[in-house]
Amino acid sequence: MTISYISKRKESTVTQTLSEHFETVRTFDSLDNFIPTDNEFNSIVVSLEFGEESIENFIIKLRKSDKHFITPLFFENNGAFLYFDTKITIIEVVERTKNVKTLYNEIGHHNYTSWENKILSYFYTRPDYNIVPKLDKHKEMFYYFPLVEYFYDGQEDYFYWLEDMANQNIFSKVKLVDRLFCCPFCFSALMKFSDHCPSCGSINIRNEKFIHCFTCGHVAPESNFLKNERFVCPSCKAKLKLIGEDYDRPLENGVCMDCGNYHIDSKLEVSCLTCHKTFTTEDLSKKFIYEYKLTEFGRNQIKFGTVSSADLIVNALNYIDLNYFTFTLNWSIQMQRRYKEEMFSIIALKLTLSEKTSSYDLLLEFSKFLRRTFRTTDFCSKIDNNSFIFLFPKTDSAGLDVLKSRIDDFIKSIKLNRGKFEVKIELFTSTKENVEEETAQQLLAKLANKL
Amino acid sequence: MSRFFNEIQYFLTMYWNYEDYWKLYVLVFPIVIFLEIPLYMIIIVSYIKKFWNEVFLDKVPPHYFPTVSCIITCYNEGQAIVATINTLVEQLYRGNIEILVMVDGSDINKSTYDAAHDYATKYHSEHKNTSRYIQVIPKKLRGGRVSSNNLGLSLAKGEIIIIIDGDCSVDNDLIASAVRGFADPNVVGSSGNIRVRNANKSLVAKFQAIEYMIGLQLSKTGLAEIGMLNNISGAHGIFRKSFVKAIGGWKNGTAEDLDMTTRIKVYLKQYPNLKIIHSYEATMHTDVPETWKVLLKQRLRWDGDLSFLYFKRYRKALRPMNIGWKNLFAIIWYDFFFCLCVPFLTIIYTIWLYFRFSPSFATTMFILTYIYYLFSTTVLFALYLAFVSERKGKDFKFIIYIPLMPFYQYIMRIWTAFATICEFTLSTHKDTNMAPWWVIRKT
Repeated sequence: MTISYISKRKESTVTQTLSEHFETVRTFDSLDNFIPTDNEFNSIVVSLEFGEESIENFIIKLRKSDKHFITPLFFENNGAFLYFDTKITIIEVVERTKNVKTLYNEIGHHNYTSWENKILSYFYTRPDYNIVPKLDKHKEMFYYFPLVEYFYDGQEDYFYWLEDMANQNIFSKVKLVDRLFCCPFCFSALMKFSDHCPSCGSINIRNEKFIHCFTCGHVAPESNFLKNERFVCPSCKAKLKLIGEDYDRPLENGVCMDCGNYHIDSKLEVSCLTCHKTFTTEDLSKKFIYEYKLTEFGRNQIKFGTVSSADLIVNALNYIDLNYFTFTLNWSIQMQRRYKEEMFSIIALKLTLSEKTSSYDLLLEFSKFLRRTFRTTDFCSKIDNNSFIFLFPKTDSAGLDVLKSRIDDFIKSIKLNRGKFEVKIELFTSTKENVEEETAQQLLAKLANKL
Repeated sequence: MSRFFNEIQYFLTMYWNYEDYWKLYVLVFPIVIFLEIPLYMIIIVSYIKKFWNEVFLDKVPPHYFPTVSCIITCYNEGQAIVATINTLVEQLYRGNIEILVMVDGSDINKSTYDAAHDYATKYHSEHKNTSRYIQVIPKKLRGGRVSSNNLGLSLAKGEIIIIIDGDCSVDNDLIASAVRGFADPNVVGSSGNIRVRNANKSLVAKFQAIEYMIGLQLSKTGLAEIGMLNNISGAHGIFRKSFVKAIGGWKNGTAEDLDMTTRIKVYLKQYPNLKIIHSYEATMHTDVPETWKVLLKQRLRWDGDLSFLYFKRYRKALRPMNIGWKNLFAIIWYDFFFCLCVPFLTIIYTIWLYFRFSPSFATTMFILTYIYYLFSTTVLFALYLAFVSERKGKDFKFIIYIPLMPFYQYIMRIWTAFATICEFTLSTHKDTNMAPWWVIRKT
């Protein structure tokens, strides 16, 4: 095994110790001079003398690289080894390196073109890690996942990806850390709240206690009644002396200093400090911040390289295995042959995501849309990774058209907002005649071909 | 029977034809001539003086806003205490107000304590940096009104203290009005205006409302103007704290208010520049008995208290060298003759009339007496409406009950005589609910 030691000190006891436990010890005197190894599995010990910022940058560079994203990283301070903030012995350094290496070798594929694959492998090789959010007031969401940020390429909001992975049961939600209100447009939690006059929108409003004169029924702010340190009704000139008998205070109202409007509730407005859009508190989205952990199912998926973001769709619905789907379809065909009114409809759908990196939020939105639109009695299955098939029992062509138009509307709206999203749809509605000669397999093949 | 009425008619018309009819007036109205009319004249003259001063002397309202401590003495008011505190919080006074809610026997009156405490907690949580400060003091064991007042006195931080009953509500300018008089450093105490809150509940309550307007508000304003204020009510008194502390606070026993006023008057003799006034604009609203039974029981106690104080407790103190000729004259005249002797004279006079003269003549005398009282009450009520009432429209509606007032006054006088007899024979002043028996027995 090879280990690299990066320290300003040329000769030190650390090098000595490392060489006793590792076959090869490579030493570098600066973080910039570090040269990645070609093929051999490597671990790195970095001396803390370089300072926090330089080390941070080094880690980011390391995790984003194709060669060292999985590399176990240790620190060294005055001759002692550290793993994160914990002091460990050289034996533990060796064991950890061995563990990571063994687990890394378990992964059948080594396709690391995307950061998602890298990070999944990373967590696969660190089974004791949780994906823990950290609070940071400078972040748009107030929270960030430090480990994820080392890997992530910055092109897309990785919160969606985490959500997606949790929906696919790759990650499990260990703990709800926080619930945040955020901007419905950009999901930033950095917002400014202000109350405005509901009439003219001015922020120059103040709360005033109101007085209700029992003699004439006049209601106005207290200041209108106050005359020479006495309450005198401006309307009927009655002296208001005893609360409960001469007057009362019905409420505390807002008064606009600009337009003079009286109001009970001022208009609460929220401005997003990130996208600068303005909206009301009812529009606020709620964001849940969880701590995640890789599941056993996720480990297997990573091991065999079958993690796919498109699975998000199937998770949204009554997903059944294709074999069982075929069986159900066959049964429906037979019912249709026997009873005329037992019609059913099918939608075959192919998703083309023109730019993969922006897929997660689109898929998430699409899956939410499907869940809203389809009924709990509908079934879904997957023809291939990008094509899906939906079965709608007891649905005629009119019902199917409604569904189709809704899907079209949704696609149109999503294209307006984001683009990069292609959906191809094929429809089929059964009649007694068109299923007379057909089997489920033939029907599915026909629809798949059309797609 | 027709002869009886014919005789009455004869006697009534005889007055206007008989040349020496003034002699009959003297015969009919001895009480009136010697006691009442001078009092009314003094009140009327003092009003003329007062309003002359107010209209023609350019008085600038004093810039004086000391911290005021309101001592609310409460017992089993329950939720009603909230209204009292609320009206004090509502004050339009510019200075600080400290509200000390003294809950007497808070262990047995838990609902009162809880209501006050909850209100205070809620108020302070909703109002930060307020100039109103509410403090609820639970006096676990019952000690009576005097102990509440004295404890409040020792806790109060204000320069001026206002004593208020727990079941009252006050006008929002009470404190501003009450404090105004105290801008004069020589003023050590002041009585305030008490209005009847439940006047519309019964006829008895309406009579008392008129009685409070004329008997308390009108006469106190007049008497105070000539420095002869008779009493600073225990339900509504305003004092300079330093002075009350100097004279040792309130004394145990019934009628502690009359006791306090009398003691103040003793000090006023020694320090002639000090004075007590009546703040007629400082209005407090209270509930009065709504039935004859409760009213008569209350008056039995009050009138008994009066005779107890003057004949028992202050028999030696009431000398000109102690309280001065003017105050002694006022006490003898107003409290002794007017409040204690007149009732007996009324009874004696009634009996004498019926025994000495024929029933028709006696009845004639009564009719004439009634006419006189109707006239005097109407004049006083008009005076009150014109110069004192701050709710003229509302008070004017009571005018229809004025014709019944002489009857009410007559009944009350007879009852005062009865109360005085009871006090002398049974010491009824000890029968009070103002303090527990273990406190009263010492007085």
